[in-house]
Amino acid sequence: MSLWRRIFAERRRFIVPLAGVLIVNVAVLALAVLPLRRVVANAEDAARHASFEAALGAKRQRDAQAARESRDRAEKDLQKFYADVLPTDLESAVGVTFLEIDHIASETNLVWDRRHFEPVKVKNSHLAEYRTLATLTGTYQNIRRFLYQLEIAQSFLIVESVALAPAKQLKVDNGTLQVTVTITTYYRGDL
Amino acid sequence: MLKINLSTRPFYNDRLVVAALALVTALVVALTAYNAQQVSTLSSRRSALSGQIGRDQATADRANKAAETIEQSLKRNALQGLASSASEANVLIAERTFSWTIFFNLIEQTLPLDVHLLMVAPRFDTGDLLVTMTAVAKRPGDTFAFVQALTGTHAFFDVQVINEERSDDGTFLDTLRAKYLQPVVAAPAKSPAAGAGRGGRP
Repeated sequence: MSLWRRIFAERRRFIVPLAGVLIVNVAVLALAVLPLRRVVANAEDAARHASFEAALGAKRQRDAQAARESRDRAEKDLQKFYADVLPTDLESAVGVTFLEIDHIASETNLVWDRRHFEPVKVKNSHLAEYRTLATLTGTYQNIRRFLYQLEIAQSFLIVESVALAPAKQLKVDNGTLQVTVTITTYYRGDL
Repeated sequence: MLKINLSTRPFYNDRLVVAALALVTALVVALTAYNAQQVSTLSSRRSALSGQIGRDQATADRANKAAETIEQSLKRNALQGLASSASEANVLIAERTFSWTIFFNLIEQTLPLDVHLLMVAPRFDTGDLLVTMTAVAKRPGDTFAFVQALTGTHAFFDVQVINEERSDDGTFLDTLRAKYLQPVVAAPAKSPAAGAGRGGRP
């Protein structure tokens, strides 16, 4: 009997259970621990993906809420602009231009020779334009004062163009000029 | 002397064998402990991850449904209409804030003596403020000097003469177009009545 066999024979009662436990442990490692580790690794990937999806969903929700708030704010601002800043209707627009331009012209010592009023429909818009062509006579300084008063007027008046009268009609001798000023205002045309 | 071993059970190093078995036993115990710890840790980690995945999926579903509800209420056509109206209002406000006082101050500083301005029309076009001016000049060189002076103010850029006609009296009728960036002034533009004007000559 060799020495190894003798040692095994003499320690069989201890070595056999120890070997059994070792085999069971190796089996548990191979069949349970390693597959479980793969399962957990896959679950971690899935969790990262789910977390990303949740973040995307939350961002989409925030964006939609921001868009809704932005829309509500824009609608409110627009309503305020239409109601408080612009003339509310054609009648108000006529009143604003007819009276205010006349008032500013006399305040700045300009004389209007001719005024032409014209409502103009604005394409693809809720707004309508009310245009005034006023031919005014006065000094250069007074014309500039007139434009300045229009700039600071409470009413929503836009000076679209300023044109001197044709050269033949210019009365430059006594220091006066004749200008045609195009002034517009806008109102809700679809009401 | 006879050198033979007559024993049927010769001696061997028992301590070495016991030590080796103790070492193997320790390794088996360690492996058992490792396996138990791994199974326990990995199992609880898997449970935790399953819970987290479920919660995240539920959160994503809730958020997506809420977003869809809001998006449906926004209606694309209405939004486009609103954007168009807002853009229109912004253009009108920008046109309203155009300062003729600042503009004429710049013109007075730059207009050569032999050039007279006949017409000015500002308008907004795709975000730029375009100013169209018609001027009468004695010589084409005067108009060129006016263009250079306008550019020199840094308020006008891309200044160009887009049309020139010779009048019966020998003067030149020029149409200029420029992009205009209204200078920012610290205080509101003062009334022109007090100052300036070059002898009342626009």
